[in-house]
Amino acid sequence: MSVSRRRFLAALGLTGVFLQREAEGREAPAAAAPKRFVSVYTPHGRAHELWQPRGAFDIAFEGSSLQPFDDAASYGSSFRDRLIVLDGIDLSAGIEVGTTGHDGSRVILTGSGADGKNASLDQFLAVEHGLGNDTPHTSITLGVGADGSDVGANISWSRGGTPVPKWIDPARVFAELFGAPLGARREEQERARAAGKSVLDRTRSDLKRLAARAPRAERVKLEQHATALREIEKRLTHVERRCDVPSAPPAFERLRAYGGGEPHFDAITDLQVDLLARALSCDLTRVATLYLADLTRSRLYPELPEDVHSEVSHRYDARDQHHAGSPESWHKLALQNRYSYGKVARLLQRLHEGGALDSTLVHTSSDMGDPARHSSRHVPTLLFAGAAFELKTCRYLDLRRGKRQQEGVPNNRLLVSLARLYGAELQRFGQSRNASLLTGSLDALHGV
Amino acid sequence: MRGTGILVVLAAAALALACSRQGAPAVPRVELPADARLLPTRVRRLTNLELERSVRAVTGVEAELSRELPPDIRQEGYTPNAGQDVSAAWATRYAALVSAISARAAERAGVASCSDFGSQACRAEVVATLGRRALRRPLSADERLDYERLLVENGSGPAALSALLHALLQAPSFLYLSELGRGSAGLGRVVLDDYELASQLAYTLRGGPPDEQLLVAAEAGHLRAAAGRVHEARRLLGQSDTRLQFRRFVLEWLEVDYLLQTAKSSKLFPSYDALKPFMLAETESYVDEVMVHGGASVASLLGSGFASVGPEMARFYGLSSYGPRASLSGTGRVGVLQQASFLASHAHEDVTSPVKRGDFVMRKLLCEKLKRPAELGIEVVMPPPDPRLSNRERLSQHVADPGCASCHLTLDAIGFTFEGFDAMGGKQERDHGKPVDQRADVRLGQAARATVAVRSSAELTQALLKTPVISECFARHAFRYFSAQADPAVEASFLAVREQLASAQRDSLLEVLIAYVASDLFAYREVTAP
Repeated sequence: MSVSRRRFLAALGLTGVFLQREAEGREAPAAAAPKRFVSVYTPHGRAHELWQPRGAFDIAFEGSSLQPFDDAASYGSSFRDRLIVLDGIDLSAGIEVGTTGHDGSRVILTGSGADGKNASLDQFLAVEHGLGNDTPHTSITLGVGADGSDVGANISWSRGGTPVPKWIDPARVFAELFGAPLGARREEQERARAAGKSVLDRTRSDLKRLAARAPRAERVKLEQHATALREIEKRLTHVERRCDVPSAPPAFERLRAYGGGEPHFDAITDLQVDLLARALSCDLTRVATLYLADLTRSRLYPELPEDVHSEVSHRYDARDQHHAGSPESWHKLALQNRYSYGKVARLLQRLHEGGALDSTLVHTSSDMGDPARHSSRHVPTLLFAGAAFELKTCRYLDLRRGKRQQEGVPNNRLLVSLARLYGAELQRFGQSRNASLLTGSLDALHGV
Repeated sequence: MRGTGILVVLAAAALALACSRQGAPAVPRVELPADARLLPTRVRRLTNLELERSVRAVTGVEAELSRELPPDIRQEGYTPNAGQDVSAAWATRYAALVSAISARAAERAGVASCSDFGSQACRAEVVATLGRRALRRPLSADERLDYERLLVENGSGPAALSALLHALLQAPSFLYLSELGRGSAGLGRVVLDDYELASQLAYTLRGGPPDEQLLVAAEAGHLRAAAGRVHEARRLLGQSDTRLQFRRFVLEWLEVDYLLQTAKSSKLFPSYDALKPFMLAETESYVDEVMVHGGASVASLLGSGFASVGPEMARFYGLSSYGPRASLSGTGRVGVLQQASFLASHAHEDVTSPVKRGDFVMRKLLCEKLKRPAELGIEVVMPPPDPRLSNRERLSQHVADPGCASCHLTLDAIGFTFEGFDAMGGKQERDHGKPVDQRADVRLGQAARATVAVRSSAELTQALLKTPVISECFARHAFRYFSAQADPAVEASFLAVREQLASAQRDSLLEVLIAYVASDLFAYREVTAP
């Protein structure tokens, strides 16, 4: 019996204990705290001139976009000693098939172009590797302003090649994580739980009947449905909370980009970050992604135009060997970058306060390097590794190669190395006709 | 009030279309080549909108489910497709929503025909009735027992009924449209069973579940024969709410269904946000007009010469009157390609996009597949905006580069004819201080021998109307939407069916769909590996 067949049956509840055992077998020997993974998408690439650390890993120089990570006054402590800056990560599998530019976010965690069928790293870790088995939420997928299923608007992808829907409303996130949807009183909850369980039993029976008749090609889809039912079941299971419930966020009348939500995005982002950190600290989930919005129409910075997308990122004028570039354009883009990184620093601060920072790996990346060129080469990649990961941190890794440093390293290698940090002994990650992109790991990460 | 008025007119007109054929219902005789590829056996999760209508039909609760659910997956831009899945986030949200809807429905009178669930007869009655309505077929003995037990487990009264409704609405047999067939028809094919045929008809033509009459026709075995299916199809096409399905198709085909999520520079287009809903409403009303009265052809969509507008859009277009058929004479607008919804959707926030507009015409009207720059190994480098250049002058850079020119010569020329309309679809006479230039020599398809000189997008439309391929191309796109797939081999089978129609019927989307319904392509499936 193949692994996927067994997983399918297990998902349908036919071999109930299989998944659990497999997950236990694969996990590294029990450490003090379970490991956690978070990935944050930051928009609009980077102004390289103000993103690259200087001298002895100086990230707080005048104008640096990484400055929030070394700003104890604003974020409680400096996170510089947990940081690895990766310069020269390319979204190569996407470049092979034209999934680049605004579509590049499809590639960040999947290592595949738009035609890929594999799960993104977060979903792989949570579902296939079992990191999400023991928490009420297998994983959570958050966003700000955009909940569409477009290729370029998602970093989390299910096996089969469909995007994982994002929660963009903090009130919904709160309700999902901390609400009591089953009713206020204990007996009401018990009754609702019993009803939910009996409904779920019928759903499972019906899915089994359908799966028995469906062709093999539909199996991935029905398997995913079975996984989803486990998620519903988890919601029905009573969980003793290990931490305080935060106060409920306000309701926002408008939530979407281009739909009038922009003026609220700053507040929404802070709430999403705080809820995400709380979810991890409370062990409600161990895997999460967050898709950030840009500053367009936010009017937060008087020095930025209303349309940051067209008038800042499209007009970034980089310095290269033959061209001095425009420092004014760097500073404007760095302001956008610093804003995004400020939110990541807030996340690190909240994780630190909740005691979860040491056991969490935070990864951030973007769909482009140079946003004016819509280039998916040299996407700005940061890792914040807690002590549990035993990585050599506080350093800048320059992976750019070639005469004009135009070549980089496929992000697939980074994904292999990250998966290994969680005990998944993979040799390759992602899908591409160009197999050479997929294999190998990023050994430099370990200081080799 | 106006909306209701239109609805009545539509219903009457649609009915006329159905009635005119009474007595001698035309059943197209269409044969499939022996080696024709068919759709595969499959289960397709209904789209959010199809589910919304289905949930309403079962519960009677008017909930706007589709607005609350994570968005549909799209294939080729269309929401009906077999890639639609049930993810954890979708499933948990859906479960919460239908749990609440079920509770509301259970409190209402009339959902169940009896309420004494202590009685076995009542349980059997309720499960059989509601089960058939939800799952669109009679329940098997196993299923009946299972759901009757569910009623017992949940006590009596509304709580038990609510649990039953919730279970039915969450059943995969409700969520997925089954196209698995029964037995074998030889040649690796199966025929859909009676109830699958009923559901196919309903979801294809109305985007919603089968009504009672259709289920009765299925029960009697009437849908096995082409004549029976065509009879029911004409009846469904005569129903007024069938228009919703055609609206949805055209909105997705035209790529304007995202309109409400688009923005324009508030400096340049301060009225855009307020007008967006009216732009969308215009296109919807126009589709109703054209699909019911105008022969349901792409020609009527492109060049009817009237607008279906209220006062807001009439003012925006500078029309002297408004209504379902307001004259567009003298405005430079002739049909759907000059509607603000289309023009605004295919433009940037601040300036027009001849590339996007030209690309739409190439893909959606001429069915030309252009290679994306990455496929040609071209790394796109955007030129910095130069305030001294008009948009057209700036884009001339495309043709200066031989790699880009291969596609952009064709693409941009078509797009330039729309330069008379700005980024939100308003009239534009000057661009960056220079008079706009809408003239172009357009090549309608890469295989076209000659170019045609046109002076505006209205003239481009006239040229397109003389290009036979647009009718076939429109039918191909319609087939992707209405059959929920985009396999070129299956599409070829569909085109073979369409070819057998008389030329006048070939241009009518309604007649083409009737021919599809009559064909084996509709009733049979190719068996894929078990």
